[in-house]
Amino acid sequence: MFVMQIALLGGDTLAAAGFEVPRLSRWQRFVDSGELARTLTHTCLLVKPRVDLGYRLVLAAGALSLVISIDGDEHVVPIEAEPDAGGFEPLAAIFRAINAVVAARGEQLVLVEVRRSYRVVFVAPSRLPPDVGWYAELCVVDVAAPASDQPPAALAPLDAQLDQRFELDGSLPGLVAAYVLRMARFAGIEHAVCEPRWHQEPGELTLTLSETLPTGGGWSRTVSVPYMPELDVQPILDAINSSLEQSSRRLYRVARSPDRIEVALLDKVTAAELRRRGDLIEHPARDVLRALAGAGVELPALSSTWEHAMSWVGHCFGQLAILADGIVDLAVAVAKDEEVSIAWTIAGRTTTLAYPASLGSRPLVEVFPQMIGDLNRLLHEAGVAHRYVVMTGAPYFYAHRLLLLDPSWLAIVARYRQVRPECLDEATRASLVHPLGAYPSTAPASTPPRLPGIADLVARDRILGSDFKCSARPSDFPDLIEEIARFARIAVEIGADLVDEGEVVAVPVTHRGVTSIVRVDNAKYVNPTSILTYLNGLLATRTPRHQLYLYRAGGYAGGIVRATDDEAARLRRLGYIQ
Amino acid sequence: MSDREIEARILDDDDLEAYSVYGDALLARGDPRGELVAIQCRLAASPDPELRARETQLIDKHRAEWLGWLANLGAFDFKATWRGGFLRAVRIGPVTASHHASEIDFAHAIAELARIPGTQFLRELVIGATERDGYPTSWHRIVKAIAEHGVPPNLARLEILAGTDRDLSTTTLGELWPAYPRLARLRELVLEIGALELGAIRLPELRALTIRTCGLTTANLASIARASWPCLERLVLWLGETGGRGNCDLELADLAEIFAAANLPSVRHLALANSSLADDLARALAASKILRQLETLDLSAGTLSDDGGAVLLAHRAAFAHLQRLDLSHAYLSPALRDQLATICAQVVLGDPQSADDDFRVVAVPE
Repeated sequence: MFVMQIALLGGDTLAAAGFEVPRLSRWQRFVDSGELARTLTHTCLLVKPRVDLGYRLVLAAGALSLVISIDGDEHVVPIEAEPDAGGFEPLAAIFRAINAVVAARGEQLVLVEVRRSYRVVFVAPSRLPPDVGWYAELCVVDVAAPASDQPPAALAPLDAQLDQRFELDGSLPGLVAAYVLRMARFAGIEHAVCEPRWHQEPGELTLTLSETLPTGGGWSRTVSVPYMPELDVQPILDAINSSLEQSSRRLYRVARSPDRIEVALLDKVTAAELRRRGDLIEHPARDVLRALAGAGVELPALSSTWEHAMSWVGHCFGQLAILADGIVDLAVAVAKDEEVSIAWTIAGRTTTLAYPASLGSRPLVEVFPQMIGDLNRLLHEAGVAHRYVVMTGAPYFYAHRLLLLDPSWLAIVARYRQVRPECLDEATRASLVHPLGAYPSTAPASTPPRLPGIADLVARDRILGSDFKCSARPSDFPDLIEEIARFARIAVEIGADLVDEGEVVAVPVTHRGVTSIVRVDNAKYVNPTSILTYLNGLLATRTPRHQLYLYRAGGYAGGIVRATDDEAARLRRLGYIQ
Repeated sequence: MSDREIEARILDDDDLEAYSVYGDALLARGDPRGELVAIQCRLAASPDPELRARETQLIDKHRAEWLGWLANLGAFDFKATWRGGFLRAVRIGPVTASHHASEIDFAHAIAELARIPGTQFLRELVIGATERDGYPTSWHRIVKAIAEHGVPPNLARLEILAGTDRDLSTTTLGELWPAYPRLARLRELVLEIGALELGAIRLPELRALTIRTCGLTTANLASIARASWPCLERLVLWLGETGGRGNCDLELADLAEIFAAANLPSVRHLALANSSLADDLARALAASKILRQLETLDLSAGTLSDDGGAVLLAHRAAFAHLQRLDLSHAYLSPALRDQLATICAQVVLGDPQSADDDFRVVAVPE
């Protein structure tokens, strides 16, 4: 597109030309945050010596309207962008509209990518090097005009004009990020950076705390702080503390006087002493969360919606019933027609609860605890004192766990915000006697029941953790088959001639001189089922007999387990394998 | 009888009557521990709920006095076992099977244990899994604390456990030798750790040494070979996978000193377990001097195959005197397993692996 007529602009020249624009991921935010108006104002200033450019941007009846004036003539610029669309394409379209008027003068507004940042420059397009990005092509109009050889104009960066600055994102997430950063620096994390996440989880401020070391390497943590009238500092401390691996000290909240709380950087001995004195503020209590981290069962991630998690919920209910072994005789059957019916049998009495199809699109993190709450009501009616709760327990467990707790434990955790509120009704809450403090401190005598984990049932070297949710190309399949085969302790050779058969890729696999074709789905994420089927055929003849199974554990954990038939039966009963 | 004489009798015989005498002397001096001695001596003879309640009450009341700073630790991080009114065994840290690591300062806990009065009869100390902070997780501060503050004077058994339910190779003990002067009376030492440096071992009273690791090194074996083991009866070594991810670098020749039993005159139980050299070990052991003095042999958790099994069969006469031979987690064909089952009084063949497997791996590779 760009025909070389005069000398191309070098990288240094381009990097100093025009002005930089922020990386735009969503058009709506670009508009709402004022960045579009700011960018247009900067554009007017940039071209000012050569073009008398002005603009009016208004929002009326939900529609955005832009009028530009060039040398006194007004032009309406149509803006057709979905709110969730990327921001660069609509901006390029605006520049293209301006260029349609000014291009004859030999220079155009172009959005260029220079050294991994984006800049708006006003230059002759033919002077641009060819590697300035796709958005540049969207900006430029094809007009026969002599190329201007003037040096590209530049808008002086803000730093050059302000000798005193307070660098801060004034949004609430930005302010919290600044607070987290200040705390991280206080903890001695010298090169910390904290920024709000582009995607904010509902009900939480979601931030990324990271550190890039000058010597290379680094780390990154997600900080999730609940929206509350008063900021809960503990999740921030937990995130920072998890980064203090090389330090013997951690951040704690300390009560210094009745109305004064401080964050202190303490070694473990001092922290233990302050804890003993009751001066350490730890809510929820660390020991409680730590004890519960191994209790109950870890649920698969509750990030889905109810309609996409039916099979998942079925096996969770199965685990729930096993958890009750020795406490109450509990059975469950789930049926799905137009509505979902859950038949709970508690001590021989069956009650069927129906849930409307409209629940389907609701987040599982709300629906599942609601069903647990309904089950708890039935337990209450049956005279059972235990209740199920769904809760997280950072920094000891981040994924939701399903716990079956007796009244002594319920009384402790019921007030924790980490417990999903739908689980416990007001009557149950009202009946609990919450221990707010005791000296010497006491812990409940009981131990909440725990479902064995996969590693409790099968030796660790027979568990291959991977949910296969990494994008894989057919060229990755040989390595994948070899890895799974090695895990199965089977030596294979993979042929070089993979055949793309459309929906599947045929991979020649040779074991002890016998070649078979393994057909793997040609999908974004690997489905290893056919690989397991092939290897299981070979394993079936061996003694003792092992087979490979796909398993799914808590959170996002999953993978392949190599189990004997007895082990497989136990894994199946506990819902880890199909 | 003086206190010293009674203490000696308790240490020699573990005799509850001696405890009782000691308790009476304490009671006469107004020491509340005397009552605990009396109660626990009676409870040892017959359980009595009322006495049990009084025992709990007494321990709770004097917890700070009898346990010092350790009284601050919750049940998760600390367990005290009592006998005759005195601490008998102490665990610092969670049980390793609990899937948790402790956040307490272990070095400080060891220092505080050394300050507690009444630990003269404490025989066993188990140090559980610490928090895995850093990579690899180093236990050197624990060794340093033992070196600086010592352990109770009559400690007979010490376990340092990183927990095999996680990657052992991410843990390191560092240098153990600074602690040897403090452990001179130790009878049993158990180390479960990814890497360690034994240095010049000086544990003359040791009867049993267990090192459970995935990364035993030539340097470790050299330390064992150079040490004096006049009393050692049980030697349990997990070797690892040579050249594998656990950093084991052993070759068969590195074990020559053990096969020759030059410095292991009293060893009756030998375990060379979790080894990728299992077949070679079987071959070398068949002709070794040490085999003749052994009563029990453990080649479990390794990669023993039909090759190694055939060697054991071919030399069955050499192994016939063993009271027990552990071949668990071996890659043996069913027919060979049947034949091996009778080569000595008891052959353990649990957790069988498939002889057809193309890759053989040790039970704890990393």
